[in-house]
Amino acid sequence: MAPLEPWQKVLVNRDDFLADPHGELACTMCHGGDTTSNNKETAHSGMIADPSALPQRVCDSCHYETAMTGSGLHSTLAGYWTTLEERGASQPEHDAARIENLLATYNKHCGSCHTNCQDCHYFPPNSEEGTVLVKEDVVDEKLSRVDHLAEIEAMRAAPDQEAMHTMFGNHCSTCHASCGDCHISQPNNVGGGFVQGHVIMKTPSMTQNCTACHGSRVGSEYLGKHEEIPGDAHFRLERMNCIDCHTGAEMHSPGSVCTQCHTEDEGIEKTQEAHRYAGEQTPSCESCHPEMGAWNDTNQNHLLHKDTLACQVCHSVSYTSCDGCHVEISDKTGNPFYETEGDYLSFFIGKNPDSNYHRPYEYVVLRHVPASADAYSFYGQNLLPTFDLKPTWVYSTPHNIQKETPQNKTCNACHGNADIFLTVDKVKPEEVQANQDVIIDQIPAQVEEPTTSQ
Amino acid sequence: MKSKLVSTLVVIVFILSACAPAATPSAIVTESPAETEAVVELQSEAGECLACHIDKQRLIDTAKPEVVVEKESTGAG
Repeated sequence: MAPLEPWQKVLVNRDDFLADPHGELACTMCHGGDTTSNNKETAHSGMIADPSALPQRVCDSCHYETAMTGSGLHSTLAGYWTTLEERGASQPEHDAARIENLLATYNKHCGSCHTNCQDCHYFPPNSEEGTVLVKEDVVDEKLSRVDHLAEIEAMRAAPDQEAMHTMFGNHCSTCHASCGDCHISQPNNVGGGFVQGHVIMKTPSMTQNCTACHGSRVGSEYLGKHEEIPGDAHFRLERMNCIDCHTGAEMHSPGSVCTQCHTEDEGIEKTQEAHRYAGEQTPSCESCHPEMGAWNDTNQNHLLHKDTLACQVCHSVSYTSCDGCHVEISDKTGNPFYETEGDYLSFFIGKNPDSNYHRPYEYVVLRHVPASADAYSFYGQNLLPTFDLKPTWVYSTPHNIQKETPQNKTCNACHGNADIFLTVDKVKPEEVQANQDVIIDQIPAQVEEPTTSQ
Repeated sequence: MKSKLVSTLVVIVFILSACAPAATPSAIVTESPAETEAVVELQSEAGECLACHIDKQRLIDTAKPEVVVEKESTGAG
Protein backbone atom coordinates (compact mmCIF):
# COMPACT_ATOMS: atom_id res chain seq x y z
CA MET A 1 0.00 0.00 0.00
CA ALA A 2 1.58 3.25 -1.15
CA PRO A 3 1.95 5.82 1.64
CA LEU A 4 -0.18 8.95 1.38
CA GLU A 5 1.32 12.41 0.87
CA PRO A 6 1.15 14.58 3.99
CA TRP A 7 -1.65 16.72 2.53
CA GLN A 8 -3.60 13.66 1.44
CA LYS A 9 -3.67 12.37 4.98
CA VAL A 10 -5.63 15.36 6.27
CA LEU A 11 -7.61 16.56 3.24
CA VAL A 12 -11.30 16.63 4.16
CA ASN A 13 -13.91 15.76 1.53
CA ARG A 14 -16.15 18.72 2.30
CA ASP A 15 -19.35 17.64 0.57
CA ASP A 16 -19.32 14.05 1.77
CA PHE A 17 -18.27 14.96 5.30
CA LEU A 18 -20.86 17.68 5.72
CA ALA A 19 -23.54 15.33 4.40
CA ASP A 20 -22.67 12.93 7.22
CA PRO A 21 -24.33 13.55 10.60
CA HIS A 22 -20.84 13.96 12.08
CA GLY A 23 -20.39 16.92 9.76
CA GLU A 24 -23.05 18.77 11.70
CA LEU A 25 -20.80 18.89 14.75
CA ALA A 26 -18.25 21.57 15.32
CA CYS A 27 -14.75 20.25 14.70
CA THR A 28 -13.72 21.32 18.18
CA MET A 29 -16.34 19.12 19.80
CA CYS A 30 -14.15 16.12 19.10
CA HIS A 31 -10.74 17.59 18.37
CA GLY A 32 -10.40 20.63 20.59
CA GLY A 33 -7.90 23.17 19.30
CA ASP A 34 -8.44 26.85 18.62
CA THR A 35 -11.14 27.28 16.02
CA THR A 36 -10.80 31.06 15.88
CA SER A 37 -7.33 31.04 14.43
CA ASN A 38 -6.40 30.63 10.78
CA ASN A 39 -2.78 30.07 11.75
CA LYS A 40 -1.85 26.43 11.72
CA GLU A 41 0.25 26.46 14.87
CA THR A 42 -2.23 28.28 17.05
CA ALA A 43 -5.25 26.54 15.54
CA HIS A 44 -3.69 23.19 16.44
CA SER A 45 -2.80 24.28 19.96
CA GLY A 46 -4.33 21.74 22.31
CA MET A 47 -5.75 19.76 19.43
CA ILE A 48 -6.45 16.03 19.85
CA ALA A 49 -5.56 14.35 16.57
CA ASP A 50 -7.33 11.07 17.36
CA PRO A 51 -10.08 11.78 19.88
CA SER A 52 -11.40 8.24 19.46
CA ALA A 53 -8.35 6.91 21.25
CA LEU A 54 -10.50 7.45 24.33
CA PRO A 55 -13.85 6.24 22.99
CA GLN A 56 -15.69 6.86 26.22
CA ARG A 57 -14.86 10.54 25.84
CA VAL A 58 -16.22 11.04 22.35
CA CYS A 59 -17.59 8.10 20.36
CA ASP A 60 -19.43 6.26 23.10
CA SER A 61 -21.32 9.35 24.17
CA CYS A 62 -23.56 8.74 21.14
CA HIS A 63 -22.71 5.19 20.05
CA TYR A 64 -23.48 3.55 23.35
CA GLU A 65 -25.25 0.77 21.46
CA THR A 66 -21.98 -0.51 20.05
CA ALA A 67 -20.52 -0.47 23.55
CA MET A 68 -16.96 -0.50 22.31
CA THR A 69 -15.78 1.42 25.35
CA GLY A 70 -12.34 0.03 24.96
CA SER A 71 -13.33 -3.54 25.79
CA GLY A 72 -12.60 -5.11 22.42
CA LEU A 73 -9.30 -6.85 21.80
CA HIS A 74 -8.34 -4.25 19.18
CA SER A 75 -8.41 -1.72 21.95
CA THR A 76 -7.21 -3.63 24.99
CA LEU A 77 -4.59 -5.81 23.28
CA ALA A 78 -5.43 -8.25 26.06
CA GLY A 79 -4.49 -11.16 23.83
CA TYR A 80 -0.85 -10.12 24.05
CA TRP A 81 -0.89 -9.91 27.83
CA THR A 82 -2.69 -13.25 28.09
CA THR A 83 0.14 -14.91 26.19
CA LEU A 84 2.88 -13.01 27.96
CA GLU A 85 1.45 -13.90 31.35
CA GLU A 86 1.18 -17.56 30.43
CA ARG A 87 4.90 -17.37 29.70
CA GLY A 88 5.61 -15.92 33.12
CA ALA A 89 5.57 -12.19 32.53
CA SER A 90 3.35 -9.93 34.55
CA GLN A 91 2.15 -6.41 34.09
CA PRO A 92 2.32 -3.81 36.83
CA GLU A 93 -0.88 -2.76 38.52
CA HIS A 94 0.11 0.85 37.98
CA ASP A 95 2.87 2.35 35.90
CA ALA A 96 5.63 4.43 37.45
CA ALA A 97 4.01 7.73 36.56
CA ARG A 98 0.82 6.70 38.32
CA ILE A 99 2.74 5.84 41.49
CA GLU A 100 4.52 9.18 41.50
CA ASN A 101 1.21 10.90 40.98
CA LEU A 102 -0.32 9.02 43.90
CA LEU A 103 2.59 9.92 46.14
CA ALA A 104 2.47 13.55 45.12
CA THR A 105 -1.26 13.66 45.78
CA TYR A 106 -0.81 12.02 49.16
CA ASN A 107 1.97 14.38 50.19
CA LYS A 108 0.05 17.42 49.04
CA HIS A 109 -3.32 16.62 50.54
CA CYS A 110 -2.78 14.02 53.25
CA GLY A 111 0.77 13.97 54.49
CA SER A 112 1.28 17.67 55.10
CA CYS A 113 -0.82 17.95 58.26
CA HIS A 114 1.92 17.10 60.74
CA THR A 115 3.02 20.63 61.56
CA ASN A 116 3.93 20.86 65.25
CA CYS A 117 4.25 18.99 68.56
CA GLN A 118 0.74 19.84 69.62
CA ASP A 119 -0.60 17.80 66.75
CA CYS A 120 0.07 14.62 68.72
CA HIS A 121 0.92 15.81 72.21
CA TYR A 122 -0.76 17.97 74.74
CA PHE A 123 0.36 19.42 78.02
CA PRO A 124 -2.46 19.23 80.57
CA PRO A 125 -2.85 22.36 82.66
CA ASN A 126 -2.39 22.23 86.43
CA SER A 127 -0.34 19.06 86.14
CA GLU A 128 3.19 18.39 87.20
CA GLU A 129 5.71 20.22 85.11
CA GLY A 130 6.91 18.18 82.15
CA THR A 131 3.82 16.05 81.93
CA VAL A 132 3.19 15.28 78.30
CA LEU A 133 0.29 13.18 77.13
CA VAL A 134 -0.23 11.59 73.74
CA LYS A 135 -3.31 12.05 71.66
CA GLU A 136 -3.70 8.36 70.89
CA ASP A 137 -6.46 8.75 68.34
CA VAL A 138 -4.44 11.32 66.40
CA VAL A 139 -1.33 9.16 66.46
CA ASP A 140 -3.31 6.15 65.25
CA GLU A 141 -4.70 8.19 62.47
CA LYS A 142 -1.26 9.47 61.47
CA LEU A 143 0.18 5.98 61.60
CA SER A 144 -2.56 4.85 59.26
CA ARG A 145 -1.28 7.46 56.85
CA VAL A 146 2.11 5.80 56.99
CA ASP A 147 0.38 2.58 56.03
CA HIS A 148 -1.12 4.39 53.08
CA LEU A 149 2.36 5.30 51.96
CA ALA A 150 3.43 1.70 52.30
CA GLU A 151 0.42 0.66 50.26
CA ILE A 152 1.32 3.07 47.52
CA GLU A 153 4.92 1.89 47.54
CA ALA A 154 3.73 -1.71 47.33
CA MET A 155 1.97 -0.84 44.09
CA ARG A 156 5.27 0.10 42.55
CA ALA A 157 6.14 -2.36 39.80
CA ALA A 158 8.87 -4.91 40.34
CA PRO A 159 11.83 -4.36 38.01
CA ASP A 160 10.71 -7.19 35.72
CA GLN A 161 7.19 -5.80 35.56
CA GLU A 162 8.51 -2.35 34.77
CA ALA A 163 10.72 -3.79 32.03
CA MET A 164 7.79 -5.64 30.44
CA HIS A 165 5.61 -2.57 30.75
CA THR A 166 8.22 -0.49 28.94
CA MET A 167 8.68 -3.16 26.27
CA PHE A 168 4.93 -3.41 25.74
CA GLY A 169 4.59 0.35 25.40
CA ASN A 170 7.45 0.58 22.91
CA HIS A 171 6.50 -2.34 20.69
CA CYS A 172 3.24 -4.20 21.29
CA SER A 173 1.07 -1.16 21.90
CA THR A 174 1.66 0.11 18.37
CA CYS A 175 -1.01 -2.41 17.35
CA HIS A 176 -3.65 -0.69 19.50
CA ALA A 177 -6.54 0.36 17.27
CA SER A 178 -8.91 3.21 18.10
CA CYS A 179 -12.39 3.68 16.60
CA GLY A 180 -10.88 6.07 14.09
CA ASP A 181 -8.20 3.58 13.03
CA CYS A 182 -11.00 1.45 11.56
CA HIS A 183 -13.67 3.98 10.63
CA ILE A 184 -11.81 7.16 9.60
CA SER A 185 -8.11 6.71 8.99
CA GLN A 186 -5.53 4.16 8.08
CA PRO A 187 -3.74 2.83 11.15
CA ASN A 188 -0.67 4.73 12.25
CA ASN A 189 1.62 1.79 11.64
CA VAL A 190 1.01 2.21 7.91
CA GLY A 191 1.41 5.96 8.04
CA GLY A 192 -2.12 7.04 8.90
CA GLY A 193 -4.26 9.37 6.79
CA PHE A 194 -7.94 9.67 6.02
CA VAL A 195 -9.42 6.83 3.98
CA GLN A 196 -12.34 8.83 2.58
CA GLY A 197 -11.62 12.46 3.42
CA HIS A 198 -12.65 12.16 7.08
CA VAL A 199 -15.99 10.56 6.22
CA ILE A 200 -16.82 8.26 9.12
CA MET A 201 -17.18 4.94 7.37
CA LYS A 202 -19.59 2.47 8.87
CA THR A 203 -17.73 -0.31 7.07
CA PRO A 204 -13.94 -0.23 7.29
CA SER A 205 -11.89 -0.63 4.14
CA MET A 206 -10.58 -4.19 3.86
CA THR A 207 -7.20 -3.18 2.47
CA GLN A 208 -6.72 0.23 4.09
CA ASN A 209 -7.92 -0.80 7.53
CA CYS A 210 -8.20 -4.54 8.15
CA THR A 211 -5.26 -5.95 6.22
CA ALA A 212 -3.23 -2.79 6.81
CA CYS A 213 -2.56 -4.39 10.19
CA HIS A 214 -3.44 -8.02 9.52
CA GLY A 215 -1.38 -8.15 6.38
CA SER A 216 1.66 -10.34 6.66
CA ARG A 217 -0.30 -13.46 7.53
CA VAL A 218 -4.08 -13.14 7.15
CA GLY A 219 -4.06 -10.54 4.38
CA SER A 220 -1.50 -12.30 2.20
CA GLU A 221 -3.21 -15.64 2.64
CA TYR A 222 -6.73 -14.37 2.03
CA LEU A 223 -5.86 -12.30 -1.01
CA GLY A 224 -3.62 -14.97 -2.52
CA LYS A 225 -0.37 -13.02 -2.46
CA HIS A 226 1.83 -16.09 -2.00
CA GLU A 227 3.15 -17.43 -5.24
CA GLU A 228 1.38 -20.57 -6.46
CA ILE A 229 -0.97 -20.59 -3.48
CA PRO A 230 -4.49 -19.49 -4.34
CA GLY A 231 -6.32 -16.96 -2.26
CA ASP A 232 -9.14 -17.96 0.02
CA ALA A 233 -12.15 -19.38 -1.81
CA HIS A 234 -14.39 -16.91 -0.02
CA PHE A 235 -12.44 -14.12 -1.70
CA ARG A 236 -11.67 -15.73 -5.05
CA LEU A 237 -15.16 -16.98 -5.73
CA GLU A 238 -17.44 -14.74 -3.69
CA ARG A 239 -15.37 -11.58 -3.22
CA MET A 240 -16.26 -11.64 0.43
CA ASN A 241 -14.93 -8.82 2.57
CA CYS A 242 -13.57 -9.27 6.11
CA ILE A 243 -16.77 -7.96 7.63
CA ASP A 244 -18.86 -10.55 5.81
CA CYS A 245 -17.66 -12.96 8.48
CA HIS A 246 -16.29 -10.67 11.21
CA THR A 247 -19.29 -8.55 12.09
CA GLY A 248 -19.45 -5.28 13.91
CA ALA A 249 -20.96 -7.08 16.88
CA GLU A 250 -17.86 -9.26 17.12
CA MET A 251 -15.52 -6.29 16.79
CA HIS A 252 -17.27 -4.02 19.24
CA SER A 253 -18.51 -6.22 22.03
CA PRO A 254 -16.66 -9.41 22.88
CA GLY A 255 -19.67 -10.91 24.61
CA SER A 256 -22.31 -10.03 22.09
CA VAL A 257 -22.32 -13.36 20.29
CA CYS A 258 -23.13 -15.32 23.44
CA THR A 259 -25.67 -12.82 24.62
CA GLN A 260 -27.61 -13.12 21.39
CA CYS A 261 -29.02 -16.34 22.85
CA HIS A 262 -28.07 -16.24 26.53
CA THR A 263 -28.81 -13.68 29.18
CA GLU A 264 -26.25 -12.28 31.56
CA ASP A 265 -28.30 -13.82 34.37
CA GLU A 266 -27.12 -17.19 33.13
CA GLY A 267 -23.60 -16.21 34.04
CA ILE A 268 -22.38 -16.02 30.46
CA GLU A 269 -19.05 -14.29 30.47
CA LYS A 270 -17.76 -12.16 27.70
CA THR A 271 -16.01 -14.49 25.35
CA GLN A 272 -13.04 -12.79 23.79
CA GLU A 273 -11.73 -10.69 26.60
CA ALA A 274 -8.63 -12.83 27.10
CA HIS A 275 -7.71 -13.62 23.51
CA ARG A 276 -9.34 -14.12 20.14
CA TYR A 277 -9.65 -17.88 20.43
CA ALA A 278 -11.36 -17.78 23.81
CA GLY A 279 -15.02 -18.71 23.98
CA GLU A 280 -17.24 -19.36 21.00
CA GLN A 281 -15.84 -19.32 17.50
CA THR A 282 -16.72 -15.99 15.99
CA PRO A 283 -17.49 -16.88 13.38
CA SER A 284 -17.49 -20.65 13.03
CA CYS A 285 -17.61 -22.23 9.58
CA GLU A 286 -20.97 -23.70 10.54
CA SER A 287 -22.33 -20.17 10.98
CA CYS A 288 -22.69 -20.08 7.19
CA HIS A 289 -22.42 -23.79 6.42
CA PRO A 290 -24.80 -25.36 8.94
CA GLU A 291 -25.19 -28.50 6.84
CA MET A 292 -21.57 -29.48 7.42
CA GLY A 293 -21.51 -32.60 9.54
CA ALA A 294 -25.26 -32.46 10.10
CA TRP A 295 -27.43 -35.55 9.80
CA ASN A 296 -28.31 -34.77 6.20
CA ASP A 297 -24.73 -34.05 5.08
CA THR A 298 -23.95 -36.37 2.19
CA ASN A 299 -20.18 -35.96 2.53
CA GLN A 300 -18.97 -38.97 4.49
CA ASN A 301 -15.70 -37.22 5.34
CA HIS A 302 -17.60 -34.53 7.18
CA LEU A 303 -19.56 -37.09 9.15
CA LEU A 304 -16.45 -39.13 9.93
CA HIS A 305 -14.25 -36.26 11.04
CA LYS A 306 -16.71 -33.89 12.60
CA ASP A 307 -15.52 -32.75 16.04
CA THR A 308 -12.20 -34.57 15.52
CA LEU A 309 -10.68 -32.27 12.93
CA ALA A 310 -10.88 -28.52 12.74
CA CYS A 311 -12.22 -27.53 9.32
CA GLN A 312 -8.85 -26.03 8.41
CA VAL A 313 -7.13 -29.42 8.71
CA CYS A 314 -8.76 -30.50 5.46
CA HIS A 315 -9.47 -27.15 3.86
CA SER A 316 -6.50 -24.85 4.34
CA VAL A 317 -3.18 -24.87 2.53
CA SER A 318 0.32 -23.64 3.33
CA TYR A 319 0.44 -20.50 5.43
CA THR A 320 3.06 -18.24 6.96
CA SER A 321 4.98 -19.15 10.07
CA CYS A 322 7.67 -17.03 11.68
CA ASP A 323 10.62 -17.75 13.94
CA GLY A 324 12.20 -15.92 16.85
CA CYS A 325 11.29 -12.28 17.21
CA HIS A 326 13.54 -9.89 19.10
CA VAL A 327 12.72 -6.31 19.94
CA GLU A 328 15.10 -3.46 20.70
CA ILE A 329 15.54 0.28 20.67
CA SER A 330 17.83 1.41 17.88
CA ASP A 331 21.15 2.94 18.93
CA LYS A 332 21.16 4.90 15.70
CA THR A 333 17.70 6.43 15.66
CA GLY A 334 16.28 5.79 19.10
CA ASN A 335 13.26 4.13 17.52
CA PRO A 336 11.87 0.75 18.53
CA PHE A 337 12.27 -2.04 16.01
CA TYR A 338 11.90 -5.80 15.72
CA GLU A 339 13.72 -8.57 13.94
CA THR A 340 12.29 -11.95 13.11
CA GLU A 341 14.69 -14.74 12.34
CA GLY A 342 12.70 -15.89 9.37
CA ASP A 343 9.29 -16.46 7.88
CA TYR A 344 8.29 -19.37 5.71
CA LEU A 345 5.29 -21.24 4.37
CA SER A 346 4.37 -24.46 6.07
CA PHE A 347 1.38 -26.66 6.78
CA PHE A 348 1.37 -28.82 9.87
CA ILE A 349 -1.37 -30.70 11.64
CA GLY A 350 -0.92 -31.09 15.39
CA LYS A 351 -2.84 -31.76 18.56
CA ASN A 352 -5.31 -29.17 19.72
CA PRO A 353 -3.55 -27.34 22.59
CA ASP A 354 -6.81 -26.19 24.14
CA SER A 355 -9.62 -28.61 23.44
CA ASN A 356 -12.86 -27.24 24.85
CA TYR A 357 -16.61 -27.07 24.32
CA HIS A 358 -16.32 -24.60 21.48
CA ARG A 359 -13.25 -26.20 19.89
CA PRO A 360 -13.47 -29.91 20.70
CA TYR A 361 -11.16 -30.98 17.89
CA GLU A 362 -8.40 -33.48 18.45
CA TYR A 363 -6.38 -32.21 15.50
CA VAL A 364 -5.90 -28.62 14.35
CA VAL A 365 -3.44 -26.80 12.10
CA LEU A 366 -0.54 -25.14 13.86
CA ARG A 367 1.33 -21.97 13.01
CA HIS A 368 4.73 -21.13 14.47
CA VAL A 369 4.60 -17.71 16.05
CA PRO A 370 7.68 -15.49 16.31
CA ALA A 371 8.18 -16.18 19.99
CA SER A 372 11.45 -16.91 21.73
CA ALA A 373 12.48 -17.10 25.35
CA ASP A 374 14.91 -14.21 24.94
CA ALA A 375 12.67 -12.05 22.74
CA TYR A 376 12.78 -9.21 25.27
CA SER A 377 16.34 -9.59 26.52
CA PHE A 378 17.05 -6.00 25.52
CA TYR A 379 14.80 -4.96 28.41
CA GLY A 380 15.89 -7.51 31.00
CA GLN A 381 16.98 -11.04 31.61
CA ASN A 382 14.58 -13.96 31.90
CA LEU A 383 11.45 -11.87 31.42
CA LEU A 384 9.55 -14.96 30.26
CA PRO A 385 10.51 -17.40 33.03
CA THR A 386 7.83 -19.97 32.16
CA PHE A 387 8.29 -19.78 28.41
CA ASP A 388 8.00 -23.56 28.08
CA LEU A 389 4.46 -23.62 29.47
CA LYS A 390 2.99 -22.43 26.20
CA PRO A 391 3.57 -23.87 22.72
CA THR A 392 5.33 -21.89 20.03
CA TRP A 393 3.31 -23.84 17.46
CA VAL A 394 -0.13 -22.45 18.16
CA TYR A 395 -3.75 -23.09 17.24
CA SER A 396 -4.39 -21.30 14.00
CA THR A 397 -7.12 -20.54 11.51
CA PRO A 398 -5.37 -19.80 8.21
CA HIS A 399 -7.41 -17.62 5.89
CA ASN A 400 -6.75 -19.56 2.69
CA ILE A 401 -9.66 -21.98 2.68
CA GLN A 402 -10.02 -24.22 -0.40
CA LYS A 403 -12.62 -26.82 -1.21
CA GLU A 404 -9.93 -29.14 -2.55
CA THR A 405 -6.50 -29.29 -0.99
CA PRO A 406 -3.47 -31.58 -1.32
CA GLN A 407 -4.33 -33.34 1.93
CA ASN A 408 -7.99 -33.99 1.15
CA LYS A 409 -7.58 -35.46 -2.31
CA THR A 410 -7.63 -38.98 -0.95
CA CYS A 411 -7.76 -40.52 2.51
CA ASN A 412 -4.11 -41.44 2.39
CA ALA A 413 -3.04 -38.03 1.21
CA CYS A 414 -3.42 -37.31 4.90
CA HIS A 415 -3.44 -40.66 6.71
CA GLY A 416 0.12 -41.88 6.95
CA ASN A 417 1.56 -38.72 5.40
CA ALA A 418 4.31 -37.78 7.83
CA ASP A 419 5.15 -34.60 5.94
CA ILE A 420 2.06 -32.76 7.13
CA PHE A 421 2.07 -33.71 10.82
CA LEU A 422 4.05 -31.83 13.42
CA THR A 423 6.25 -34.58 14.75
CA VAL A 424 9.11 -33.99 17.15
CA ASP A 425 11.74 -34.00 14.40
CA LYS A 426 10.16 -30.85 12.95
CA VAL A 427 10.46 -28.90 16.19
CA LYS A 428 13.59 -27.04 17.24
CA PRO A 429 15.25 -28.94 20.10
CA GLU A 430 15.04 -25.94 22.43
CA GLU A 431 11.28 -25.72 21.81
CA VAL A 432 10.34 -29.38 22.23
CA GLN A 433 9.41 -28.93 25.87
CA ALA A 434 7.14 -25.97 25.09
CA ASN A 435 5.37 -27.92 22.36
CA GLN A 436 4.82 -31.23 24.15
CA ASP A 437 1.06 -30.69 24.10
CA VAL A 438 0.82 -30.23 20.34
CA ILE A 439 3.44 -32.59 18.93
CA ILE A 440 2.04 -35.68 17.24
CA ASP A 441 3.58 -38.82 18.67
CA GLN A 442 2.12 -41.20 16.16
CA ILE A 443 0.62 -40.12 12.87
CA PRO A 444 -2.69 -41.72 11.83
CA ALA A 445 -2.09 -44.95 9.96
CA GLN A 446 -3.00 -45.37 6.35
CA VAL A 447 -6.51 -46.64 5.62
CA GLU A 448 -8.15 -48.47 2.80
CA GLU A 449 -9.40 -46.04 0.21
CA PRO A 450 -13.13 -46.24 -0.54
CA THR A 451 -13.97 -47.57 -3.95
CA THR A 452 -16.12 -44.57 -4.87
CA SER A 453 -15.22 -41.00 -4.10
CA GLN A 454 -17.65 -38.77 -2.29
CA MET B 1 -73.63 71.45 16.23
CA LYS B 2 -71.27 70.16 13.60
CA SER B 3 -68.24 71.12 15.66
CA LYS B 4 -69.75 69.38 18.69
CA LEU B 5 -70.22 66.19 16.65
CA VAL B 6 -66.59 66.32 15.44
CA SER B 7 -65.39 66.86 19.01
CA THR B 8 -67.41 63.90 20.21
CA LEU B 9 -65.96 61.68 17.43
CA VAL B 10 -62.43 62.78 18.29
CA VAL B 11 -62.99 61.91 21.94
CA ILE B 12 -64.46 58.51 21.04
CA VAL B 13 -61.57 57.75 18.68
CA PHE B 14 -59.09 58.77 21.38
CA ILE B 15 -60.80 56.60 23.97
CA LEU B 16 -60.95 53.60 21.61
CA SER B 17 -57.34 53.98 20.61
CA ALA B 18 -56.37 53.93 24.28
CA CYS B 19 -58.03 50.52 24.64
CA ALA B 20 -56.35 49.06 21.58
CA PRO B 21 -53.82 46.20 22.13
CA ALA B 22 -50.18 46.99 22.14
CA ALA B 23 -48.36 47.00 18.87
CA THR B 24 -46.91 43.58 17.81
CA PRO B 25 -43.34 44.15 16.76
CA SER B 26 -42.13 41.80 19.55
CA ALA B 27 -43.93 38.87 17.89
CA ILE B 28 -41.92 39.49 14.74
CA VAL B 29 -38.69 39.49 16.73
CA THR B 30 -39.37 36.09 18.25
CA GLU B 31 -39.96 34.44 14.90
CA SER B 32 -36.26 33.64 14.49
CA PRO B 33 -35.99 29.95 15.41
CA ALA B 34 -33.32 28.76 17.82
CA GLU B 35 -32.16 26.00 15.46
CA THR B 36 -31.10 28.50 12.86
CA GLU B 37 -28.88 30.26 15.33
CA ALA B 38 -27.28 26.97 16.37
CA VAL B 39 -26.59 25.88 12.80
CA VAL B 40 -25.05 29.23 12.01
CA GLU B 41 -22.87 28.92 15.07
CA LEU B 42 -21.67 25.41 14.21
CA GLN B 43 -20.87 26.32 10.64
CA SER B 44 -18.91 29.34 11.69
CA GLU B 45 -17.01 27.23 14.25
CA ALA B 46 -16.08 24.74 11.56
CA GLY B 47 -15.15 27.53 9.20
CA GLU B 48 -11.46 27.97 9.98
CA CYS B 49 -10.86 24.26 10.33
CA LEU B 50 -12.65 23.30 7.15
CA ALA B 51 -11.39 26.28 5.23
CA CYS B 52 -7.90 24.88 5.54
CA HIS B 53 -8.62 21.17 5.46
CA ILE B 54 -10.54 21.31 2.19
CA ASP B 55 -7.88 23.42 0.51
CA LYS B 56 -5.32 21.09 -1.04
CA GLN B 57 -2.87 23.83 -1.94
CA ARG B 58 -2.99 25.35 1.52
CA LEU B 59 -2.35 21.96 3.07
CA ILE B 60 0.62 21.47 0.75
CA ASP B 61 1.97 24.92 1.59
CA THR B 62 1.67 24.48 5.33
CA ALA B 63 2.66 20.82 5.61
CA LYS B 64 5.71 20.09 7.65
CA PRO B 65 8.25 18.13 5.61
CA GLU B 66 7.91 14.52 6.62
CA VAL B 67 11.03 12.99 8.08
CA VAL B 68 11.69 9.75 6.29
CA VAL B 69 12.18 7.21 9.05
CA GLU B 70 14.61 4.50 8.17
CA LYS B 71 12.88 1.14 8.41
CA GLU B 72 14.88 -0.89 10.85
CA SER B 73 12.49 -3.75 11.50
CA THR B 74 13.02 -6.89 9.48
CA GLY B 75 10.81 -9.87 8.81
CA ALA B 76 7.08 -10.40 9.14
CA GLY B 77 5.61 -8.36 11.95
